[in-house]
Amino acid sequence: MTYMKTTAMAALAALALAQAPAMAAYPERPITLIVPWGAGGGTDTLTRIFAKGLEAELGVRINVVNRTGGSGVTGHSAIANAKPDGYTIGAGTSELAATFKVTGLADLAAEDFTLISRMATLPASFVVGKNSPYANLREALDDIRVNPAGTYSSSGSGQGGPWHIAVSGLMLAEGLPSNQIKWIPSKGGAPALQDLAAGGVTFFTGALSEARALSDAGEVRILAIMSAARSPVFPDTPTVKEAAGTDWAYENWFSLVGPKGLPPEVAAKLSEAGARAAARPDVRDRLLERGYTPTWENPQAFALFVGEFSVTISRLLKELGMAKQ
Amino acid sequence: MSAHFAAALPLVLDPAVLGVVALAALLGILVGAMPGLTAVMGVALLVPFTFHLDPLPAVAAVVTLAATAIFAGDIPGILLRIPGTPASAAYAEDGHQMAMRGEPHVALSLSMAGACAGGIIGVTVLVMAAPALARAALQFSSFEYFWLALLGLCCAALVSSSSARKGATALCLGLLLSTVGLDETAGSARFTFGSTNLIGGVNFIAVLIGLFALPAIIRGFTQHTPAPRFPDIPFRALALQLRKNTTKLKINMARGGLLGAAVGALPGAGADIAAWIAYAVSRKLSKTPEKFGAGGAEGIAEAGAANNGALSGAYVPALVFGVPGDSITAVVIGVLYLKGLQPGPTIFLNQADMVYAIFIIFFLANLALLPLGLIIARLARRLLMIPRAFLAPVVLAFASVGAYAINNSAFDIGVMLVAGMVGYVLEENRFPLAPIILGMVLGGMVEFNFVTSMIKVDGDLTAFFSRPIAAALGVATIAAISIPAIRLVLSRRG
Repeated sequence: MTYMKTTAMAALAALALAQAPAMAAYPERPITLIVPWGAGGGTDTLTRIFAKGLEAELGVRINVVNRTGGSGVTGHSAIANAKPDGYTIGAGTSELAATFKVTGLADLAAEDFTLISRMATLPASFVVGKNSPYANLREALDDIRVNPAGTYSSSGSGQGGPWHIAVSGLMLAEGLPSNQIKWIPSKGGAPALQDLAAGGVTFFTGALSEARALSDAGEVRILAIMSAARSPVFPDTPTVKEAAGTDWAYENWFSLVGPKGLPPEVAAKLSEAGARAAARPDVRDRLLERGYTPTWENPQAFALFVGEFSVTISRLLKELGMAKQ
Repeated sequence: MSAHFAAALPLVLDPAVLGVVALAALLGILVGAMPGLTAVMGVALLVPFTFHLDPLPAVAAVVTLAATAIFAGDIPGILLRIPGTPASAAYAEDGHQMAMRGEPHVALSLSMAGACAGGIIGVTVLVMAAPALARAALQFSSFEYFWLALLGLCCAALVSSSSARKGATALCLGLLLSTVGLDETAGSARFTFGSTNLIGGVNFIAVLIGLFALPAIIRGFTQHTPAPRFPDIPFRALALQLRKNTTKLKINMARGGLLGAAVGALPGAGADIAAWIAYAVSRKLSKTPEKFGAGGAEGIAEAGAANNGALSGAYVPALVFGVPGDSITAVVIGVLYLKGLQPGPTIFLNQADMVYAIFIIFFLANLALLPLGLIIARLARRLLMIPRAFLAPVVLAFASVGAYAINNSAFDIGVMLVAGMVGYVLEENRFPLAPIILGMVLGGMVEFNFVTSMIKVDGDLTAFFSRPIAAALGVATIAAISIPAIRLVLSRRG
């Protein structure tokens, strides 16, 4: 008897569910958030911090999973190819705008994603070793100018990676060839800084936050930050404009994205809950402590930004001879 | 220094801190014993929880989890010949053969003693020599890393027990596999055949699980050997035997621990590489090199000490310069920043109590391995007495879950299965499997550092000898390759 009753109830419930799948409010079950970079790295840490806030705002569990490899291609493909139901979203990094497609690495660009917003930005910095003769950025740039291309080298990311773009853009802004400074590829900021301290490269052009400890130790000196304004965390470091009079800013960015074709109500929900998460003091403070600038914007503004960014980046990659077409 | 320790002790003796240490130790055992789940992944999973903890328990949790996970990686390595983490791969064969000989408890207690000794030696080095060692480690550029990686590859000849030709073949297979995927110096894809999955390369942990787990599983179905019986060893006898073994192998453990700490202090060379190098050194200096790869005790003790020593060594550049020594310390640096602790030389001045409290946690975490290890050593025989036909499907399920868990990708299960079948064929033909893993771990490192060095100096090969440390490492590497070759030629003439 009891058994039959249960069965009948279950059947009824199943029927009700089958009739109204779209009626349930998103989200009703845990969400997977794919990070295309390694556990413990910059993108991973900031995404986990943000996911904690988003989890509280959405009221469902968010599982952060790392899909690494191939300079971000593997993870970004996994996000783009996920079912667009809002239960698989991802942390998109600046490579998704144009880098993959222009360099011919993968047929993957901004239009393959539903763009929600940037979560944080990270300004580039220009760093020299402790024995470097340059007192400021202007001196360094003047010396770079009078020497043949490739005399000096810099490191901070892979070939064509965000920090490679940062230094090439600076060279162009100075009216020099984009490859005036030789780029030495590295597997991230930490090994590049190590190489700078060991005397393997002349400059480090990468995340300001990563250079902090070595700078405190007196092993390296931060000459400038490639940002429009000084960082609240490093108020003593001048911007490129202040230090050298050249107009150049480059910030790497980290965004919340979904696969293409996310239902509008799902995207709206993520945008709105994300805004609340970004405003949470715990999220803001933790991002600031790590040297990130917390950011949130509406999807239209973000799409506009990505459009402009991909134009800049495509031009720079072509200048560097890294474009496939 | 003793004043610092005295000030730090009450911080550690807080019940909340000790509770976190105990929980993290248990979690570490689970993570380490599960093939595919590495210590780094365990630590990354902890990060969201550390948000809610005070700074000391947060770091304590990470330290303890990593130490127990690296030891626990030996458990499936010894019992099933499936290294739980890559750091156990070098001596999994020895541990397993010893277990199959009827001495699983000896193998497990040895690996535990090695881990414990290596960990404690590593922390002592960290406490005594951190600033000096960090300064030395900061001298390593791509030229030095190139030689170091090449020196590591020479270990392949020493770690493979069978013929040199077969060892070299296996090594080349590993080197070839390491070239698949994105070429990080040129930024272009190689041997990927248009597959997005292959752009990330062939995952070496998936290959590791497949190579070591599947042949045993296949044999579990094809050969009907009765399950071995193992006697129950009381704790007293176990402890006595452990004391005898540690006395006999104390030099191995000390050497392994020191070597591990030194390798670990180099950013970019972690517990995995430390274990391989220690194993090779141990074999080279051993009076009974023929026992290596055939269930010998020395390799387990020495390499087991090296991987735990490397864990502590990695904190040297992390605390002194904020440069992570391995992926685990990369996470730790993040946690430190989040907790308002700034890694760098000032941490020893501004937050000395905290730093010394972390050092005490290191000692505690490594000492906690003793009771945990003894309990596991006693229970282990039960697992081994399960008939292979029952065990095989369960192990296959675990291997699949482990392969999937590395990158949440079903593709890696496929990689694991293919690697396993290749491994079975290779083993049936007496090819050693360990050099494949070594080639995969070091192949990329050799290539990347060679190419970036060449870009720096515009192809001038003499640059590999123009820096003092690079020159010394270069001479050592060339000697390691040429001396055995010259000896061979001379002995054939004579």
